[in-house]
Amino acid sequence: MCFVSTNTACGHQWNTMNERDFVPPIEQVDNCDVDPLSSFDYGGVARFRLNFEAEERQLIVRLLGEMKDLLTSEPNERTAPLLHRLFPPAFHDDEEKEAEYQRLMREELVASRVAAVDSVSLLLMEEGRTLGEGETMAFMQSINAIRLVLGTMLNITDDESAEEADVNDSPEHSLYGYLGWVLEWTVTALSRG
Amino acid sequence: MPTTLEPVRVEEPKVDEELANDRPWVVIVWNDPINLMSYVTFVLKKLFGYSDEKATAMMLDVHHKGKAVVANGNREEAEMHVFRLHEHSLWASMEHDE
Repeated sequence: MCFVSTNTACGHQWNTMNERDFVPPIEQVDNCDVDPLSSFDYGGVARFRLNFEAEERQLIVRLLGEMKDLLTSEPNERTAPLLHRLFPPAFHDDEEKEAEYQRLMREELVASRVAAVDSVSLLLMEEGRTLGEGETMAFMQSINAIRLVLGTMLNITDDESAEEADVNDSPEHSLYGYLGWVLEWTVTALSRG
Repeated sequence: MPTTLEPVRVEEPKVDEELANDRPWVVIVWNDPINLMSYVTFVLKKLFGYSDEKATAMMLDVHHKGKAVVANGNREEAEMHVFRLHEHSLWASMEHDE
């Protein structure tokens, strides 16, 4: 399969790949590819396949582990701005209601993020395993959360710094670009479903 | 059996507070330079069942105007919407409808 271009915000970084056959990091698979009976049994429930190399799986599992550490540890000077981005205020001009929201929802939000990270880590360790739509949504949320934290660490705070990040080729910026590419394809795959 | 009704003292409601409580809430998504446009559009479609056209228009409003109202409701409904948007890492908040 040859994918000529993507409609990604960072598409230009991947133009060099146009000339060879190129496999997207995730794609929806026909049910018959997975199990000849499944489309009959379950009426076209979408499945998704991750086309990662072993190193990519290991990298993402490692990043998921770091995300879990961040979510479950006490905030400090370094992590406070990252956690603020993951748990933004719900009420901008009402401290009392905001405190109540954080009190009631924060724990649930942490639990929801940790559950997604855990399930995605397990999925990634099973090579060749296809994902259901809910699992793919969890994958998308987790990749996005990692990218958000990384972007915050890279001081991407406005359109200008976002454009600068696009052309910066430091390892961290490359990782940020890579996660954007994975995310873009995940949205594309899920949008087909 | 009493034939006349006792006069009853009626509590005057605090009008401002009552009105404030009845006013609907709006859920706002704020622009941020990290979340991908396609991702924001997809999340709005998925969470609220919006058409591609409607979700894209909202996403563009967020991008160009800095924010957009993406849903409304009573306080409980709005809080649930904000929670789900936060689960998806969108920069969401809620306030009283003006």
